[in-house]
Amino acid sequence: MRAKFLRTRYLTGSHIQIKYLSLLLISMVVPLIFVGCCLYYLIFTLMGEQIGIPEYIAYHLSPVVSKINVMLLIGVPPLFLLLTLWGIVLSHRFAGPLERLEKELHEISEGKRHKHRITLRKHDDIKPIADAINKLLARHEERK
Amino acid sequence: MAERKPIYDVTPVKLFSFSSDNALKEWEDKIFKGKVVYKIEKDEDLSYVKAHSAGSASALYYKIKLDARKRRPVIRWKWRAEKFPVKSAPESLEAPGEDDFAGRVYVIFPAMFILNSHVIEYIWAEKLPVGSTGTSPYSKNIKLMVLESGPVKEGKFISEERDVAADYIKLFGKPPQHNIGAVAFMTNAEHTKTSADAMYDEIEIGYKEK
Repeated sequence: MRAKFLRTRYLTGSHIQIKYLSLLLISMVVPLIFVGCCLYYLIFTLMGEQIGIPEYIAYHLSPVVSKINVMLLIGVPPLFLLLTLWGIVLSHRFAGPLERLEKELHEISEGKRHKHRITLRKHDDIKPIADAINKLLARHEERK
Repeated sequence: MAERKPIYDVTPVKLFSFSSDNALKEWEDKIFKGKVVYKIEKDEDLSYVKAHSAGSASALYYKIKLDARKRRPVIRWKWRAEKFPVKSAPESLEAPGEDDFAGRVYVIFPAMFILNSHVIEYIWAEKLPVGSTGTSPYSKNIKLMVLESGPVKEGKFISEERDVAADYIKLFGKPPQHNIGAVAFMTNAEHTKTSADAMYDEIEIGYKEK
């Protein structure tokens, strides 16, 4: 019975999850790129201005820039992969219960379910909303 | 002084006459290896900057903004090389191991990212022919041009006048993409671990009149 309520697919491709995933990735990646670019630019500009003499800027900063670029090339793809995976987990946590609520309400309204009860996980954030709807449905059944 | 008549009519923007004792205060010291002694010296009616490098490398650097894309900046100065760094190999503009010259004047075109900045260096070499050009061994964005070569007779100052945009086109093969952001001069001898002396005077920056 328990297995019925487990949402095992983390990436469902539903519009709600895609929306949350996009928002999460934008809110994580955009500040990261912005801060990274600012630091990258500021560090080298300040160092360059400090050194001043063009030959020595080229001689000393070029190897540092090359090393940092290699490190970024190696480090950034796994970082983005991790952020994407984390985004999928979070968006699944937000969107999963909403999708289930939407699906079950739809089934109830179309009379496809014998018993009018919405079942969510104990720790789902919108569990109190589902409980309130269940109470409403129960009262509605009693009146019938 | 070896006075060469000015070629261009110039609208002056900044003139450094180095006539007062504190004339170097507005220049920033950019020290790389040891400190080159730059001091104001007076000789009869002349007042100039004397540079002495004893195996050291530091430049005097002045930030100044000049439009190099729409106007024609001109730089004028007078200089005199007295002592040249001693090199073991034939002198070259592109030898990183012996990149020492008695006199250099820089015109710097800063870019958004510092390593993309472009630089013209006017060189006083010891043996290279006047008019030689080359690329710095450290960066393709630094171009060098020999304006004077060898010692001068009777210790005369030599006047220079350069149409910076024309030199830029000659050296880089295209018009300047960035404006001028700084000028500098340096006498260095840190690679050869020898010594070099030069004098600089009356650096003037302006725009060529149409």
